[in-house]
Amino acid sequence: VSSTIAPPNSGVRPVLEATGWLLQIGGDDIATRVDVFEQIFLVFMLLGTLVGIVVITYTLYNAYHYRSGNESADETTDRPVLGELPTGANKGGRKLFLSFGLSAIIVVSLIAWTYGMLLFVEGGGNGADPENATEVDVEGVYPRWSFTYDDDDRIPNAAAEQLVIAAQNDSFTTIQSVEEIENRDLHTLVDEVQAEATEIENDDDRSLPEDFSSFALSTKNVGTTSDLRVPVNEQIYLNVTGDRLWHNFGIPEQNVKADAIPGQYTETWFVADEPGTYRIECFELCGSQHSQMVGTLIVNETSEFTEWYDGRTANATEISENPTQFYDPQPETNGSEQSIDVVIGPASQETRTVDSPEPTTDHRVAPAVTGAASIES
Amino acid sequence: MTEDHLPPTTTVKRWLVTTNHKDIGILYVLTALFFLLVGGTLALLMRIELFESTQWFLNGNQYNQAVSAHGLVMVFWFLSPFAFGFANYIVPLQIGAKDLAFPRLNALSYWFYLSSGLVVMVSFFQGGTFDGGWTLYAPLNLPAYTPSIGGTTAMLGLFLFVVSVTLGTINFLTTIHRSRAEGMGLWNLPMFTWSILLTVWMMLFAFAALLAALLLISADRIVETSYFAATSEGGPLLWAHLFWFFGHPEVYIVFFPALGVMFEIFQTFCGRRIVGRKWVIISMILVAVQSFLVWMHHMFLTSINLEIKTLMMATTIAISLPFDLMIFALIYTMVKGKIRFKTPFLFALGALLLFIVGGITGVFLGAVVLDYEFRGTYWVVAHFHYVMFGGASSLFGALYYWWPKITGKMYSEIWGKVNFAVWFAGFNMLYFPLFLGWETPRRVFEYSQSLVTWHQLATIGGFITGISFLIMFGNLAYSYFRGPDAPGNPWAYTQTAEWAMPSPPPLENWDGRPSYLDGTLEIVKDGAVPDGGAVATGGDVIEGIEQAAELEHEHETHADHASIWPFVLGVGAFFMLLGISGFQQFPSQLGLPGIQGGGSLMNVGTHYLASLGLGTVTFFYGLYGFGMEEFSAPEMAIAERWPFADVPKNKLGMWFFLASDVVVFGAAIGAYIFVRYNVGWNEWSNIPPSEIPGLVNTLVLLTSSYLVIMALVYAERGDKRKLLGAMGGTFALGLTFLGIKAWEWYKEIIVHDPPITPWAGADGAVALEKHTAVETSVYYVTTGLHGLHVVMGLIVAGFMLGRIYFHDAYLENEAPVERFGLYWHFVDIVWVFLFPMFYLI
Repeated sequence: VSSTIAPPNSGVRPVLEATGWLLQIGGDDIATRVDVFEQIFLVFMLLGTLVGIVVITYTLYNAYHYRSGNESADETTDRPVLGELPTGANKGGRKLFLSFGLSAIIVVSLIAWTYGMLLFVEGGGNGADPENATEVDVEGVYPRWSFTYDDDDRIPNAAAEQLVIAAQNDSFTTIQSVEEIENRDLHTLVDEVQAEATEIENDDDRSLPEDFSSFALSTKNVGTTSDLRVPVNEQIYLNVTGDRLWHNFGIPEQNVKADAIPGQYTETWFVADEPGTYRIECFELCGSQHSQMVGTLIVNETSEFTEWYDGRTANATEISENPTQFYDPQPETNGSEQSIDVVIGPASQETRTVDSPEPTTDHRVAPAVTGAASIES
Repeated sequence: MTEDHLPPTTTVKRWLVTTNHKDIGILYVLTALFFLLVGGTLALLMRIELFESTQWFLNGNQYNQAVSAHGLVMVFWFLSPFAFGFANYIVPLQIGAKDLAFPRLNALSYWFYLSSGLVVMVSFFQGGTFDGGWTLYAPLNLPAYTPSIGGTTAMLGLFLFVVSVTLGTINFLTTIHRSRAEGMGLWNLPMFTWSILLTVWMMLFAFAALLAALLLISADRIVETSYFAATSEGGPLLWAHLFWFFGHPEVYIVFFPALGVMFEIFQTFCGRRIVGRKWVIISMILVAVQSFLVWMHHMFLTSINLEIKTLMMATTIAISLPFDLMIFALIYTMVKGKIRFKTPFLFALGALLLFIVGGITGVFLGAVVLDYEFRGTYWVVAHFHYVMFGGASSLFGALYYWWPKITGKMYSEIWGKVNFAVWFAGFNMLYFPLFLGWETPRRVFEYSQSLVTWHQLATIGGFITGISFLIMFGNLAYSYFRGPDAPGNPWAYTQTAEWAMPSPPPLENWDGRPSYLDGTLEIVKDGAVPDGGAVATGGDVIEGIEQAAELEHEHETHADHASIWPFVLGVGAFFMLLGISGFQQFPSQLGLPGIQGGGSLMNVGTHYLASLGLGTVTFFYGLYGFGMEEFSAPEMAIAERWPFADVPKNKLGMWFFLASDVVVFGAAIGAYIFVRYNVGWNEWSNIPPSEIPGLVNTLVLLTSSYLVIMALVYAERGDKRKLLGAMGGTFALGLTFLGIKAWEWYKEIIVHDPPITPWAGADGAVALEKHTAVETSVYYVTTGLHGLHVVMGLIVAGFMLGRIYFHDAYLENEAPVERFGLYWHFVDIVWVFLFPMFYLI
């Protein structure tokens, strides 16, 4: 995961530059959604306020100036007559079209100007290559938000632990030795072991190892509920959906928002440039707990994030480097602290923070946590 | 000119039987104001809750009910009906008509409107009304998530409201197109009438789409089909498309009448004709057409692609520009005026100022990138209240403006001004802070503490706004009972015809025939003119010997003004819908006798069954009475009728109805295409095991179309025996069609193993081995909708058969046979589309 913002790779750059002087997107000036929003919003606010004040003042001036009884009222003007066929005034047409033309130019050019920004946002901004960036699947699971990190190279500790158990057990033919874990694609391996576990379950002659949990294995990616943790100054790609209801995922302070619709995937992105916590809210009515469908965006320094993330995952490299520590069900906590840290250290901290504040309703996340906890104990 | 059938206005009976447009207008205005109070009270409940940033007053479910009902009641039962109260009263006067084209139908519209509103009121007491927001987004609108029976009732109420709107739409379109006084071309229509004309054109198509959407969701809620389920491919998005295809034109539907009022009031109180009037009208026509091309700007954050977003952004900006022109036209109309700051003008000016703010903040939303951030926030809430409720400001101006005309009494100008001051201050205090606290998500009752100040200001503003209405009602009530009498024309520089009449105008409006032939309003006494005034005068005046004959006929038959049957039908519809609401299915609860787990119809409460029975009997009794009643509503003999001069009134009404029905089926077929596209066009499998019954049915219907043409020929010839034969044949073929259909459904639902049911609950799940739930849903609902049209046709045909047999009907006037034929052909044509859709491709 790159921590610097890569040069823009989207095809919209020429369009952006052609949009002209108003569009200050050169270099690293605009990297975040907040910058995009604030710049446009400011221009719209200034122009909108200006136009509003001018038009309203002119309206009120006219209303006052041409009030009945005012000397300046032109007595020669044609007045409407009761019973005549309605027709328009014979004057004022030129002024009307002048004002109309002016307002049309303002509106159309404003919107055209923002179109460049739209392309910028739709093109994924000028940030990192999506291939290397952090990708998170966001799912509205009423009344919570659930986050899963899209990572093809790693699986959560809890799942890795099940692989090791399977490898050490003779029942499994798909995986025979711990070394295989390092040589195989982890996600495929999980699928295969999962499939065989189901087979064994349905077979009267075979039985699963006692400490094997198919459920723990089913979580192939690191996930959390309610809290979304991301590294600072990095492009985060979100892939948003809803499980049963139509939600709208939004982090107002990051100016990012996307509909979460069952069966549909909406893609968006953001870059958080300040560590801290931000409010996640639901912007589409989804039931009586709509108001409580909130979460927290936790923006960490890159190192802090990596530490947290790695604490919840195992990748092939780690496993091969320290296989014994990894699957040892009774690690000596007072002994080789360093080697354990790599795998489970930070996870144990997370266990506390996740478990204590609120009961988790999404059980798909729970195994990752309890799995880590069980290693610790 | 006799009023012998119409009791005096002081009796209750008068208001139950009246079909006079002015009476109906008053009923509409009063009922709409009642619903304003209901919607306003709900709004204040929400504002009280939002005074604190945490939940303290309403719980989540109560809050959501308040939010949803407030939106539904204000948009549907207040804004439009309020405007149409004035339209009922004023439009016929402005165009020189004696009444609407179909006075009884007008009364029926009103009673359906009232019934629909009362049905929604009852829904509060059925475990709570619908609580999924006024946009009724899927899948929250399914009983799995909004399980109260009241939720279904609210939707059924909305359904009846749409029926009422459709009837009213047909009525106004026919009236404005066929009943304009001589010399009044379309260009010469007063601005208010113009705005109503364009509004009803939009309504005709937009509400048809909503009708289709409501039929589908009602099927989902009652028969447990799966159009909008989360598991249905594209289900939730389908709702959004259907809803917003209606929903965006609806914005202009509620705003146009307010705009029309603004132009009327500005012209009168500025004492100047509208600047650029012609361009204003062209702008409004452009908006009306474009309003159907912008709906996806409500869906910018869904997964629609960039190309469509760009297109919708362009159409959205394009639709905002005509409004710029209208705003400037209003502003320049003041220039060189003699402006009198009477209460109506203050409200209209206020509306203009509010609309300027609403319009500018709307441009923000037109920029897609900004819309991304504003979506679902209070920016949207504040913006559309500035537009829609700001527009209502001009409707309140209309209430003051036409009050002297309607009641014959003057209101207190001082209190009127106080009313405006409090209203305007309250309004801005209520909604402007919402722009400042825009980051609050919509429809939440717990929000970030940092925004609490704005919401507290808004709550106080909300109560001030509420108080302004108490002042208004007090002022008007005092005026009604104690106010001085109003002259016919209380304002200077009026132009339109309603001011050339006494206040209030007499029952039949004109003592003679209004004419603008010489450019100004004249009341022509045709009796005194030789040849009945039927002098060919060239131009676009439509006259002829036929009209002259009709004219003489008109002098013999006076117009009727009283019928009890619309009221009876309204009562019947009320109980019927309440009864149907009891059939709402909870997930997996449904079963029919004879199918696994059957007998759960027993779950429907007996009071619901009783209500359904009572309602059905009343409704059909009313229908029979309505059909048998001799009700005379003679059409004006001499009138401007461009462009429908050659289409008789009733036939034109039928054409308008069919136009809206095209959209109903268009939406249902659109849903089929959308769903099938999302499933995968070639993954789709048709339900009927064999195409033979469908083919036979196609032939049956085509033959019946031929017979209906024969019926018309025999009616023209006055051959009763053959007419009976042809109509009877049509009827028999219609029955055959339904019989084959019933047999098919019996084979599929009962005989087939596993049964292929329309519902996807526990009992229906078996069928899903072969067909997806959405395939069965689309099949049963779409062909069922068509079948329902056949049933309705058969009811009419059966009624006509009876009239032919017993009363020798239609032998002298074959027009009803022709109208039935139009309907029947339409139903047959729809089948020609459905047959390949569900049997062949």
